[in-house]
Amino acid sequence: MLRVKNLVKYYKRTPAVDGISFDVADGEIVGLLGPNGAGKTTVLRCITGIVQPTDGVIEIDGINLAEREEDAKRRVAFVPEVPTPYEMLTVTEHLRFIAMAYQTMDRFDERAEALLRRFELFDKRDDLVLSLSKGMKQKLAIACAFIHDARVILLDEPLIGIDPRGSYELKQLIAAAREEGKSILISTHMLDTAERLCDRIIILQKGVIVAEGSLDELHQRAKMGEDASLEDVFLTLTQESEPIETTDLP
Amino acid sequence: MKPLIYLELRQLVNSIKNTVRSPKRLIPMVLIAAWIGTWLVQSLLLLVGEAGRPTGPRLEVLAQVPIETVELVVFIFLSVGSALVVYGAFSSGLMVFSIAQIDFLFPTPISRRKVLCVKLVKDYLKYGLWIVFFFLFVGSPVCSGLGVSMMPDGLASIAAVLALVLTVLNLAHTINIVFTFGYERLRQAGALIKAAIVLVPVSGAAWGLYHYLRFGGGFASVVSAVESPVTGAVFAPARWAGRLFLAPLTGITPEQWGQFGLLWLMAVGSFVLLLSRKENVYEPALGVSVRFAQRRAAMRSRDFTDFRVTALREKGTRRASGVRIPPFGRGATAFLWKNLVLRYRLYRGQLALMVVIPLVIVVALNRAMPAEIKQNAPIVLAYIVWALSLAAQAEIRADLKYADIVKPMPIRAWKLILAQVGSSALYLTGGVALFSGYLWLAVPDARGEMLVVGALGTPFLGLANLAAVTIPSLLYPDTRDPTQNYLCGLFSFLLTLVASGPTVVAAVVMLVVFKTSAYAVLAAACVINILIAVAAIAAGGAVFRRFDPTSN
Repeated sequence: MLRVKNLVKYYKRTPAVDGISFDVADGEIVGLLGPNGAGKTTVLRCITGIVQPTDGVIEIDGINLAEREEDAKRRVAFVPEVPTPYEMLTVTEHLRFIAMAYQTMDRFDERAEALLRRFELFDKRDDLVLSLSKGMKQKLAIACAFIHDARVILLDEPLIGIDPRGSYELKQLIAAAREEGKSILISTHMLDTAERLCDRIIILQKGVIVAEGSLDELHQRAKMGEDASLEDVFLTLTQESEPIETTDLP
Repeated sequence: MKPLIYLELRQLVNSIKNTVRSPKRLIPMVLIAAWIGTWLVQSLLLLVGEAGRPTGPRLEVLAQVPIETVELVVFIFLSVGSALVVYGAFSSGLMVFSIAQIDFLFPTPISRRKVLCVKLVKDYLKYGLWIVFFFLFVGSPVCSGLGVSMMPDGLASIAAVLALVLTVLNLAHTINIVFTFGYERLRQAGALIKAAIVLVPVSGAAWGLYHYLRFGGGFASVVSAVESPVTGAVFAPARWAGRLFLAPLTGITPEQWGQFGLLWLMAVGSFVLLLSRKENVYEPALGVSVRFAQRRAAMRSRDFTDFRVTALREKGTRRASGVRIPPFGRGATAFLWKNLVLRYRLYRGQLALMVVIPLVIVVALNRAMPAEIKQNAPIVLAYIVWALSLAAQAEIRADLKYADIVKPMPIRAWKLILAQVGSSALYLTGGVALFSGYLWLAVPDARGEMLVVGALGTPFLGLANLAAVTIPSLLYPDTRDPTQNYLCGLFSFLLTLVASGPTVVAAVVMLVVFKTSAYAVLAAACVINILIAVAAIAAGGAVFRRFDPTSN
């Protein structure tokens, strides 16, 4: 279970995230939506320990990240947006390094082979990462996230850049992870995917949560009928349909 | 620690394998290694000599430089460098990680202290190697020239400078972590320390000025400035390291051995202090690492436009400011406007330099040239046009990044090439006008027919050259490929010679054989260069029609 309580993150004096709280229960998939600059990536970076919150508490499986960081991080898997893996490692070496870092080397060869076959990287297993395409790097990042037995899985725009087969396999993996009782938080702009995949949606804007709940609850919040899509609900709640301010560029 | 050692070792082994397997990478590496190896062997031979005696020829000129002057220069270099690094640490990060480390290492449960420790040890090894190389390549021949042996005191010199570098960097990293973390209570303290760092050299300068006004003597005043009580106390470690730097020439006193010990105590102490910080070191590293990666990518791709864009982004430029160039043109002529606007915005910060540097060159030329050939100074205009045409090639190749936007437009290819060449020619004409003006003002002997003809004719020569370099730029567009860079440079050079050839031949024939006036040569050169430009633009258009933006 992932619990975020009153999370605040300031960059100098600018608030990127301003006092947000939410939970992701065991066996739940939560979608984190929001316009560009809403603070989604900052939230994920705080949970992964890359960025230190200005205030607030993050608990992973009941472990306070600030107090027992290494124990908490061992339970988290993270797929970054536009991942840049180590170019001078081979695909297998990359997976091995991640497994070593998370101290989950049991049956490594078997698990690595299964993941590489699943994402059609098995033939590339001895190739250097620098030879992989953008989509293949994305698949490798996903394989790295699933090589260790994380309790909380964080995915930042995981479906961008991968082919339909890879996308299908990732959705299968996410569904399987839910069945195993893992907590999954997906940050995405792909509203149709969020609509189909997520149990609950959190809409973030300017660092605060503007709406949270199941799709039905969001419909009610936006005062829209059940036939309205998540896109309609999103645009209503974030008021993105208003005219965009013009700049003074010549 | 095991995963980190595995990571570093595998990357090292794979890099070596990757280099060995590729002849394109192996050959330059072998050549560079052979060059460094030769230097190293020579330096080591000089270093050791026969039974430790120096073997190189004695250079009297080096022996005439007073050791106090050298010591002063070394001290100023080390102290100013240290102050700048520490001052900069208050605002921008120094700890650069790779994007791969941010994406894949930072989220792992490996402790930050271990990650930081491995990173610092790697960096220290790098700095140590640089210092050793400096002593081998520079220190060893200098010692040999002075007839002294670099060993064994040279080892203490290397170790002392390394200790100072490590102390300064550890301190700077610690300051960066603490003061960029966002502690409100430290905001004021940070501002005060920064002000103090500025005040130290100011107080030194004031002390030196006081000394100069009271006692006179330029060098003595500079010495008193750097030895003022405040400067001396704050920069004492730089003073110690500076003295030990010259140990092969001066020897080491017992007091200096004490200072050597203190320097290393400070290095170790600052390392422990840095590792003891509880703040998240990943956070300040995040921004600077991303910026560094962008800058490196731009440099590697030799894309100067991208490099300027990265620099502007780093400066925090958000809005277009300065002179507003009103939109003009339809179809291809709109590209003239677009190119003018983009170049103005990219290089606006350099405008002052662009105006001043030609003036400096012209003044220097005027001083360096013998009086009897000053009337021929306008020949420099032809060289400027040639150099600017070759430089414009980088801009043309950078613009090809947008070929997938431009190609689908309903504009004929040759018109697009003409617009590209035309906007570069406008800038080039501006450069020629500026240089010509400076020549007129600063070199009175150059005022004459040749300057007028040069100022009016070279822009046409530039037009032909620019049109010519467009062709290799289109044929070899990939700036990341060293082979394409080499071929593009080579063919551009050859084509500028071909494009300039007819003008040179016509000028020689008309002036020497037919004894025509310079203005007749100017008219002929204009016609010839316009014809060459038209032919090259047509050829460029044909190449651009077949240009595939998706292929390298």
